[in-house]
Amino acid sequence: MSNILRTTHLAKTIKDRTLVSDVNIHVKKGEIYGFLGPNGAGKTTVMRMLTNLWRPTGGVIELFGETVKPDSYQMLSRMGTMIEFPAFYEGLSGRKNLRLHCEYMGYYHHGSIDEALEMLHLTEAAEKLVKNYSLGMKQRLGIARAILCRPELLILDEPTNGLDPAGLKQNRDLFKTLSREYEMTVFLSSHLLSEVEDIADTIGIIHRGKTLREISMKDITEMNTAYIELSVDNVRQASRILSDRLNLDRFKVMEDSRIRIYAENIETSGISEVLIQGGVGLNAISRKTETLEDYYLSVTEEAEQA
Amino acid sequence: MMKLIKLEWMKNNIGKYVIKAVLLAVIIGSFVLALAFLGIADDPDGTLDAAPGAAGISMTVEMFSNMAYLMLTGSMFGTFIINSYKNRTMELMFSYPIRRQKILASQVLAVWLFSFGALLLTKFFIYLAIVAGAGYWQSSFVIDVAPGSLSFWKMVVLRSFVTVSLGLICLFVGLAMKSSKAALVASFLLFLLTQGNVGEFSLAGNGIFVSVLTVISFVLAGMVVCRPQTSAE
Repeated sequence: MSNILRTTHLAKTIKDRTLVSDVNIHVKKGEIYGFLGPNGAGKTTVMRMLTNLWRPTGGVIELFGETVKPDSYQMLSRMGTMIEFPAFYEGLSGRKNLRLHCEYMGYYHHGSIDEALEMLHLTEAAEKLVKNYSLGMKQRLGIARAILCRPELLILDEPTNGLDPAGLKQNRDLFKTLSREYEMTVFLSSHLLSEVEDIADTIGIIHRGKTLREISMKDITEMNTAYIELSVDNVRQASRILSDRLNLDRFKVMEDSRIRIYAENIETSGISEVLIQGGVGLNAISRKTETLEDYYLSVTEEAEQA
Repeated sequence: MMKLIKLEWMKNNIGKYVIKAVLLAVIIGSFVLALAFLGIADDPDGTLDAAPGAAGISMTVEMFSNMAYLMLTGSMFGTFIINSYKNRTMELMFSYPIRRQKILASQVLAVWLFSFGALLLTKFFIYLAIVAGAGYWQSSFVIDVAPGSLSFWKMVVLRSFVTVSLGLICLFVGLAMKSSKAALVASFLLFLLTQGNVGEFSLAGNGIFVSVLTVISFVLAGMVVCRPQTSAE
């Protein structure tokens, strides 16, 4: 599959402050790409550059197979964007805001506004002034505006902000539908890793302005490490027992008195027996597999230590 | 471009400004007519109490209407452009497949064209009312309105053009200070500078000064339009 979006050594500096220094992204046509990173990692900066709001100070952005230049305005007609909190003409209704968007995008398709409102469950609120919308409704209207003109590439910065659980579920389903049925490519950032895990085909992790890893969710699932998680009352003593009596060296002490053991050929019953014999209070023990959150944390922690 | 200008008017509820323009015309018109025909500016002995060189009614009409419209233009630039940067709708505009310079130009023109048109119409109706009134009542001012003279209307158009163009300086100041209030204050100060007097000294009739200010206005407008940037860049 060809890349619809690619960045090479993308960098942005504002007044001696480096916001991002080496961002390399490869987004394939039709996929959902989750762009992850801690606060301040540079996600929004990258998205601003992708949407031509900010000009890169280094590197290259390629969109739809063409290099983005300061005057690449026509590319924007093929994109739907929502960066940070969506801005609206608050004195106009939701429907009028969407109509304005169509006028500026030069998109005239009968019924498209009603369809977008319906997809985001905003039909009843369509005639209300935007200033009377809740935060979640504004967020949904922002997504409705982004998908309104059937863009080939959807760039959404934290689209889950302000949404309730029902809204989160609707969003997940919507993004899957847009990708699978409408063949839209979705590039989104989110701090809710479980949301991304559920829908993304590929994830990219950015940390301190650099991309650390780009990997498909399929690969993460395949390399998912199974582990045994214990909750004990004395972590130090438990660690000593695991090391001395069970000869285990691949375990990790977590927060909240939890220990993760990464060993394949060991039974939970054997571990609990040895710990209890050693006088360690065992609160819980279970076998688990790593989630996207675990993977993300291990990658970012590794980068912190490097 | 015209489509973009119309969209600007629609977004910013131009109907509200039409009402303001009508109210301004009624208020300024009523006041000027009262000055001319009801003698409210006269001394108790019945002689006109006007500033030196302002015995003609056109000076009064020009002064009040220009003052009102310079402030209206400043306030419109504040709403149309400066506030767009503040509430981030400008970023939304920059996400459209339209040249940024064209977007900014359409916003500047939307304000400029409306103010210029409304100011001309306001003056036109006030002058017509004065001419009509002069047929019935005695005026305290010299009626120096010549509706049949092309040169008279040329001067009216020229003064209106200069007044509305000075609003571009207010836009530049407002953007530099990131404040629509600053634009409004700038418009008031500009009015004082161009129309006020200290003792007998005034720049009101100084053509060179006004011409230089007008040129500066357009240079500043060019800078606003040609160098559009998002806030943090």
